[in-house]
Amino acid sequence: MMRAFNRRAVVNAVTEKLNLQFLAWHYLFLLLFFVTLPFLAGILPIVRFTDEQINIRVFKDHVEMQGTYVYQNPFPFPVVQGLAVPLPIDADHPTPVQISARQQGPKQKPLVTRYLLGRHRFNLFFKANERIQIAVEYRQQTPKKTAIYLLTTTQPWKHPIQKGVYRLVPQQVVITHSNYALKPEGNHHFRFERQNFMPQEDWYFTWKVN
Amino acid sequence: MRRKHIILMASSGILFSTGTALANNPPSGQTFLSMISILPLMIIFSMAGGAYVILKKLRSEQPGRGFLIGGVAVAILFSMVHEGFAAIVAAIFGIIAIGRGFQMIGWGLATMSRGQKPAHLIGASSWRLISSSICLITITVFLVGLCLVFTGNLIREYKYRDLEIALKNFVSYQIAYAQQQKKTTGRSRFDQAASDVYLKTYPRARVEYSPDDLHFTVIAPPDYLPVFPYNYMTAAPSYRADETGQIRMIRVRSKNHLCPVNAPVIMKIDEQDLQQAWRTIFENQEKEQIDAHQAVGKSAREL
Repeated sequence: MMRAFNRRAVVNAVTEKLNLQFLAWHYLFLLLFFVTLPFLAGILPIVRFTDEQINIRVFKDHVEMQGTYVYQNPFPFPVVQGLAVPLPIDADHPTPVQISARQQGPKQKPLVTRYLLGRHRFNLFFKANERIQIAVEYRQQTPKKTAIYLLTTTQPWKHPIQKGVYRLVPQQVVITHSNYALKPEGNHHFRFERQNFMPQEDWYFTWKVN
Repeated sequence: MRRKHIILMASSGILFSTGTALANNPPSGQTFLSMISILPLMIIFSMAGGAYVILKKLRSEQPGRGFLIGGVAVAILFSMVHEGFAAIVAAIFGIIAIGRGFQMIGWGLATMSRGQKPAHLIGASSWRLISSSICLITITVFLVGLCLVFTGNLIREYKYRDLEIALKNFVSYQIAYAQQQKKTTGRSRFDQAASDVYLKTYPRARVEYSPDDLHFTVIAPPDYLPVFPYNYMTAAPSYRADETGQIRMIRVRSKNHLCPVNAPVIMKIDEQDLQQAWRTIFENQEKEQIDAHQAVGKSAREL
């Protein structure tokens, strides 16, 4: 009895001293905030990136990239996923232009991009367990007849993509090199395909004019 | 017991609502992230300044905390419906946080005074109160500003995509027009009325022609950039193009920053673009001829 009384007294004293009762909901609120902060801050993605199909039309001095990407919300409640368009920019590859993004399925609609902190960004709104397909396009000048497609941006998703199909469509040019082995496809197209793919390097290719 | 239930339910609401919007990655979801950061920051700086000790002394009984948390949860849910709502909620949270900041400054100044201090300020540290409140107000003003500045259509990139296409069409048309003029009249010149057709929706884009009409330059600085310091979070494209068929662009942080002559070439007019331009010229000429014939026919009928 005496011990119980003392313990209660100590607990009361500590509670009083630290203002714990008064601050309980503040701590709870802060805890919730910090638990969700990595997701809010985009450090951890919430949806899954499952498939991609890339078609690159190669012209004499530019490339036109058309990418289709599929994302899956694994949760039984709606989420909003922020996405950024990674672009290969360096001395030989100037800033791409005519960048556009649109949702292809289940509903078709344009996606509004914003340029913030050096990247084109947009949001995708997922219903519970929804799968969304989007398309991104851009055009890039290629003065040295080399191009890069960034594949290693899959790594921050922490999961390999289930299926990736990568296709080159030369337009009166000849593909001379690709660091991923290409297979010919009808109509002078080339492609490589991967399943359960976690890219370790980006895709580089070169060409020459016929 | 009832109060605990309210707190628990409201907390769950916040958790799920945060989950619902959780991938509003900064800064694409800067509005939501800023909005949801304001109250935690207010709590942190209030703790740092010792405001809760003073508040506890001031309030013999806690006001309805359950309703307060419920209100916050509802506000967060409301903010997820639309970005504009998030900005409104951020402004409300901002007013609450700034109000707390000024309250803390008031307490800090009262603590510094030499006279008899009120009972609730005994033991309070003036420098803690004032420094924490200044941090709280500064950060809150920044976050609310962030919400307000980046909400809406103003920095959406599709405008620039359209401008890039318009510039490409304009430059290729001018090159094709000059080629056509050289063929027909022996002298190359540009169509100075074309800017009204191709660039009329971009009031900041201007075309300068050389006196001999052999050169032209299009300069298109951005039409909008947020105010300092938010312009450092984004950058808008500034374009330059000329009769060489090269379109140049750099991203700038000031509306008056013009694209320099040596900026990287982001697009070049190619054969395909010129063929399209030639088609446009032929179509325009055909249309002019048809209009002329119709006008002649109409005059003849009137006679």
